[in-house]
Amino acid sequence: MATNFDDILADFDNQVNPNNRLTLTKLKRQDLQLLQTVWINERMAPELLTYEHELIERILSRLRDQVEFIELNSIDIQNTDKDIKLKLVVIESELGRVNFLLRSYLRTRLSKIDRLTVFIRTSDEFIQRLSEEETIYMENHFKSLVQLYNNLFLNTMPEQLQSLDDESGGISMIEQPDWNKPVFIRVVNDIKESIIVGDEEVELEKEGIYLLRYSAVKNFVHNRDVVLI
Amino acid sequence: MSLPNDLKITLSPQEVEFLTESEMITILPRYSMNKLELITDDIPKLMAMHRIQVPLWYALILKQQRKCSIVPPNWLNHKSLKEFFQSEVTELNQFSKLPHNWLELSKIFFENAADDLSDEPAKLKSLIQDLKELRLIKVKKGLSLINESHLQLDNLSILEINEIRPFVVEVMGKLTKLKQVITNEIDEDRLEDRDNDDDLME
Repeated sequence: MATNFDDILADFDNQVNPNNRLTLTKLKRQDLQLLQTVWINERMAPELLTYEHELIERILSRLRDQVEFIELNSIDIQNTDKDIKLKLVVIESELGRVNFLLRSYLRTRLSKIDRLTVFIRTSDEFIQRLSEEETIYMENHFKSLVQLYNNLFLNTMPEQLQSLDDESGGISMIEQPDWNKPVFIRVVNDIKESIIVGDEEVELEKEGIYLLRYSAVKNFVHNRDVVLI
Repeated sequence: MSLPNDLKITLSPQEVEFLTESEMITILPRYSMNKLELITDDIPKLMAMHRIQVPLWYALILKQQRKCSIVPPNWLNHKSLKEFFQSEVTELNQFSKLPHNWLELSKIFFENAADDLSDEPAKLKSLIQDLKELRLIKVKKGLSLINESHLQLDNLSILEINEIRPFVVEVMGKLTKLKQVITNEIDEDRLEDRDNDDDLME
């Protein structure tokens, strides 16, 4: 469904706006903005955020078209377009830029998934945030890791010390996101109610830049009223 | 493993520059070219000597091939920078409203399009340097106000934030933890006091 998002939007544009080229361009730019935002959010947030299915699908499908275009045009030496060399340089540069963003986004997520595996597996909410591929990766990685630990040393330990998610004794073995991690934010939408940080009340002004703990603005990050920077 | 450790704390300067290169800039093409469809943008048809807005990374490719000149932003000249410096000096408690990527953008200009600047690059460079140092002093002074709850830093650029991030995040995190310990202890004391009161009542 998500793969056809462009088409659906284009159809819709055709009906209401005959000049739909412009709108598709706008959509492309919005997607770039969004990808950059979710990339930085993911980099700076202590928790794992929701995977951006539709956005990533849209960009990947355009990316595939572009790769096809490059292949077609670099084989065809008799190409009549005199600018084709420069165009290919531009297209390949952009491809590299988009690839970089996508890779960094996915790798950031993987590093969090690795670190927080046990925690994520205990929470339905967090499992929902993974993409299908990420879930498969996490399960396989966890399985191999447990097996490795068992073979290396766990099976020689007393049985009550063998678990990896021991919460007894007041200290949990499960690594949680550091909810109070200080983060830099920029407020992008008007926020009416003031927020409580510790025992202080803070009003978030639009376009303001603040440094405060993540837990205080978590919900605003989720609905993108503030972005992390 | 999937993400190098130093990238977990902050964005690298290269990554900040990368973000700046995504932003739009006005160019004056010396070359005509048909429109170009990209993944994250469409570049309209270029016409020689017609100003047009394009992403900065694209402008830099054309510039390297001497196919365009880049129009400097309206603050990157001697007069404006002097004004910004003045307001930086008079308004000691806030940062002047330079764009959020002024440092990155001016660096890119000095390295790739110095000949498109309207004033002598060396002079602009030293002005930028002065501004940077002045603002850094302000940042450091502002940091003395740091507490466990929050800090407002309007108009600070991403590069400037990145410079202080590792230190500030660490300190504020520690303060938050200390505060929590203190609050918990006070709560416990109160509970104990109440217990004692109860004893007296009996």
